[in-house]
Amino acid sequence: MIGTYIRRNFRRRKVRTILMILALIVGVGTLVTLNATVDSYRRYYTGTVAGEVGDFDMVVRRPDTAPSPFLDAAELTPRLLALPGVRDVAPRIHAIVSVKAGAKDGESIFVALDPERDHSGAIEVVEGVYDLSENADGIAGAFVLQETADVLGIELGDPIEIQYAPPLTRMKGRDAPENASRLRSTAEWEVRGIGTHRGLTGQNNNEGVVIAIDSARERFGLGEVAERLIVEVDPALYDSTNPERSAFDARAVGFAVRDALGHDDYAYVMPRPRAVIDGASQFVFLQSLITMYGLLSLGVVGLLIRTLIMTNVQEQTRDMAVMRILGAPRRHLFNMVAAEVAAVGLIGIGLGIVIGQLVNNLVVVRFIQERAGDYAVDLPLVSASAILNSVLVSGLVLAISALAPARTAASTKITHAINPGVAEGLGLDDLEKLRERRTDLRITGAGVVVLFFPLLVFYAFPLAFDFGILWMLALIFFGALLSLIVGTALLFFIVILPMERFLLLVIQGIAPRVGYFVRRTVMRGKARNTLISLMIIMSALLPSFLSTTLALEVANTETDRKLNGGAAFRVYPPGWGGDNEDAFSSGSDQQNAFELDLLDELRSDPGFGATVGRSRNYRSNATDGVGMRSSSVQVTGIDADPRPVLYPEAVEISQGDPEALARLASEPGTAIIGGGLATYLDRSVGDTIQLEGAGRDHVEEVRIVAIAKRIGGLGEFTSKQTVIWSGSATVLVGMPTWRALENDPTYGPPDPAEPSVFTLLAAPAAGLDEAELTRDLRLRYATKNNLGIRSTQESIESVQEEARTGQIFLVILTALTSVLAVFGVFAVIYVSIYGRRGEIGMLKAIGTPGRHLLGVFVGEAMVMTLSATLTGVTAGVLLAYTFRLSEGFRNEVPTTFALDPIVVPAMLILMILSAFFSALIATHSFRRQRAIDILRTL
Amino acid sequence: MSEAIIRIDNVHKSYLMGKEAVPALRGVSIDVQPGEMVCLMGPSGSGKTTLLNIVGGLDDPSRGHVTIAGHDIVAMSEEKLARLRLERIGFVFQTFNLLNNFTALENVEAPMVLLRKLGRKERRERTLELLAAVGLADRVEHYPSELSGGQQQRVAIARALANDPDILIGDEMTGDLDSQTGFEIMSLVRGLNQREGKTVVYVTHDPRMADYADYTVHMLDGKIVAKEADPVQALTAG
Repeated sequence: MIGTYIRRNFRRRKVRTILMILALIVGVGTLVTLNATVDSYRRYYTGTVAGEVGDFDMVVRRPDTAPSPFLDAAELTPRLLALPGVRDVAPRIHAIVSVKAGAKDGESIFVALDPERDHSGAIEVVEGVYDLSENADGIAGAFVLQETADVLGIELGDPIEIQYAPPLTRMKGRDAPENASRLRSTAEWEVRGIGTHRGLTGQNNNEGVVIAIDSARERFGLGEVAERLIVEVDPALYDSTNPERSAFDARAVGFAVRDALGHDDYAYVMPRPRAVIDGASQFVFLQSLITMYGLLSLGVVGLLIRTLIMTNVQEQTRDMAVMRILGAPRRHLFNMVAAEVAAVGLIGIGLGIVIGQLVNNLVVVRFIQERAGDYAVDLPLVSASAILNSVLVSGLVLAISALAPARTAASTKITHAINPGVAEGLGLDDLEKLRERRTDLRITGAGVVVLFFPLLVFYAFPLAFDFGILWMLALIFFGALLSLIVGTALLFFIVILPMERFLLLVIQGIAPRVGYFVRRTVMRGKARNTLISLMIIMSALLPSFLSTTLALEVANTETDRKLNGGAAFRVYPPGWGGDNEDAFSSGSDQQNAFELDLLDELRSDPGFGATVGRSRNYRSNATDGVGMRSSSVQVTGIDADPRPVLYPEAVEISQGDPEALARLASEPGTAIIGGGLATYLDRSVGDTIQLEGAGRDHVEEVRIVAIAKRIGGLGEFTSKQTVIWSGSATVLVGMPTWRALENDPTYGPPDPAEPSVFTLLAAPAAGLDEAELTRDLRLRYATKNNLGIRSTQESIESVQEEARTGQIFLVILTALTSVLAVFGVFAVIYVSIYGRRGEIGMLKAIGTPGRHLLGVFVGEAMVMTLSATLTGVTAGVLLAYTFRLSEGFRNEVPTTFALDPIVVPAMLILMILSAFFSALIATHSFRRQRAIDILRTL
Repeated sequence: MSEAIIRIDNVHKSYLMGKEAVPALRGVSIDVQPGEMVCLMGPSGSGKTTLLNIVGGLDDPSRGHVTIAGHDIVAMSEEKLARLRLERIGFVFQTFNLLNNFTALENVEAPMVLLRKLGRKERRERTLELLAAVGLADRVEHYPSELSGGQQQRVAIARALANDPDILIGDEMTGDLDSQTGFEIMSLVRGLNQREGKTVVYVTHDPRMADYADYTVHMLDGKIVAKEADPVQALTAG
């Protein structure tokens, strides 16, 4: 009977069934595509990282404190092969060798491997063949990587001479001896192939020479040893849908290897499992964001299914009542509806999975493969994790959607068949619904309650952080974001009524007759559109919030970066520490200052205009001199007038002579402090403060010459007292004062020639293009002197570029969410119009023109969708501004107002179109039908 | 005798039931003079509702001519026909067909809004007059669901009269009402017919309601079988 019920409903309610299945296909397909895209990208990322660090499951070496750098491959290999999970073991020798090819020679990476057993990494032959064997003349083959071949001018068939020296060992706790003599062996190979590699050498370049380990052993007289063993684990261990699990399973094999060989005599690394787990960590947040988007989108689909199935149930109430009379238990009616939803779900989810996976495989994977270039990554045909994730989310949404209609069916009264009038009698609640809609403060209250959840982040987030559970962090983060969105949507629901009234006024202004009818239906249809309105608000809120945040970031990046960085260029000396600029911008103890020659060279570089040298921060204690108040501070010294170097907006002097900054470097014993420190110490311009110096009882007194609100690039000068708590308030002094403070006077006066500049701030020479200058400077200094060169303009462009990429991602997500919202809008409008056939028939009978009817229903749809969209947009924009303004207030930076020019307008246009076409399609048949034909069907 | 306000001339109407054409009217001809109150009676399937729908311009004949207030409605476009209905014909249905989201006042006002002949104030005044005329002066702000069946039908009658039509069409106006309320509604309609000279054509199953008509047209199998001023006599003859 259940089968008959489902078949009959599918046949008789084709539009609804198709609509439900279509919405599910789009919803699930989208989710599968997005999840599979993330999965594919994660694998690509993992593959790329593994390719860069070496595509090895595990590498076993001797530590450099071992007596010998070599291990006994013949003895260890069978022991390792006997371990569960170990698939193969391959010996290798990696080294830096001298390569001589004809007249040229140079250093290169050297990899000697067993071509039969070594499966790690991949080779792509550009010229010749990958043949490492010995020929009949006893000459062994070599494969030279492209960059080495280019640098040394190596061609196919060329002999190359390789000079190898075994690595030096050292004593534990001591450095390897310098200039120690090493036994060097030289041998010759023939170049049989030239090409590129992925993950073979463990280096992210194409430098190196690859030869067979046997020929290396023989020619260098190494015996049966290996410098390292590459342990390959069972590939099935990576089959888990959970990459973290895969990595840990591989690590379990690693533990077994370590247990077998011991802790002390060998060193172990696991590059590939590490890349897998790092990849998972990188993408867990993106995955969570997509899951949240999926939940919102499928929420609309769920609402659509709930609405349509509920309509089916209501239309068949009499039939169900008859079944109850015939003895059908309530459970049976419940099951009938649940089975119908399950059938719809099975078809929709099934097709959605197939289509989503196809889109991923045919579009996304191809795109990734194209981008992967040299790093061709094997991506699986089916992303099990993506499918599982999508099925779980959509299954949950479907189950929730089925609940209400199924319960309604189960609670069908027998009187529906006997006396429908009595069974459907209106209650007081129904009458209440007909009154003009009023603001429902319960929804607002619910919003306030839901908004409390993000506060949990303050408690739960650190807890999860302490435990280091990344997925939980992502869950809490996006859970908080989701509840922020839901809570704000509920809170802003109150705005929907004024929005509706505003839109009604607009409609009444344009078409008074249409407005007359629309107003009465919209303002009194309380129960009908609350849910869909909420879903539309949420669908509009999240993209508006994210896109406005991005727009604000783009608009404010320039100011933020300029205020923060202070100057166009910041140059750091060798060993400046890579990308972590903030950690080194203040100069750490480990960091070296600029050598004076290099500093002079830089300062006289024609690319630079004015420059100012900045010391590292010296942590001191500032006191009022009478022991009442003191604060930990950072003392920074400068060696020139910084004003020509700093952006004008990056300097704000709140008290004192603005020229004081210009004189600071040349006036010993003067200082500029921030408002926060001045307030805390209650010191003003002209007063003195005491700074504790490096020596015992060493105090330097400085006179305050100005109080700054901001001096970008030179420290923290905020007026907030928080700098006192964090001890980050800056005291800016001239370099002589800084030297005096940092110098222990016990050992004499400071040496004015001692290098003290840790950061050079520079303005570009007039008329130079900053981007070109950055490239030029990097070419001249970054490679030769290993200097760190930071360009504010470059970082602005980089952030803006990232924002633009983010915007594309957002546009795609928004489009997908909106498409699903369109389904929701269509379903609600369709059901609403279908349920008002009598009204349409009557209106036509009394002579309402078709275009008026269309106008009324289009108007209703417009008001309903646009009011919710506008509410969501307003809420999203305000939320973004709240965050930005509070951040601006916290950092004392101004906010440039900005609105997203793409996502929000696109969403509004899509909603207008969806409302229009939904009404157009849903009323199409009724507009064509005659009044009498409509009335006859009632 | 003045010119007939409704002229039905040899009208045939067939409906397609599956692949078979089922005749509903077989050559019906009837003239209704202005100010007449005509009752259509007959068993189910006799064609009375079909005839009423054609008279009201809701349905078109398969063959024959229909003239309403001098307009040949068979040749009329749907939009023009709608306009004719809006200006000249009022409808009262068995199931009232009121707009549930509209109050009694708004239901009556709706056709005037559509016609746009009256300003807002005049419209409101006329609506209140009409509601007072049907005895609902104290129910103007009530929604249909807050009114009894009889009251809803009164609202429907007031709505049918909103644009001061020449013709009032009633399809089983009292079908969903108890006898007492039914008589009250028929008295109201008859009063309108007599006081304001409205032409009324209505269908009923109930012979007692036919008494209010000037004459009754009896139908059987798609044909007019009798047209009698005394329904009892007609029934005996049939």
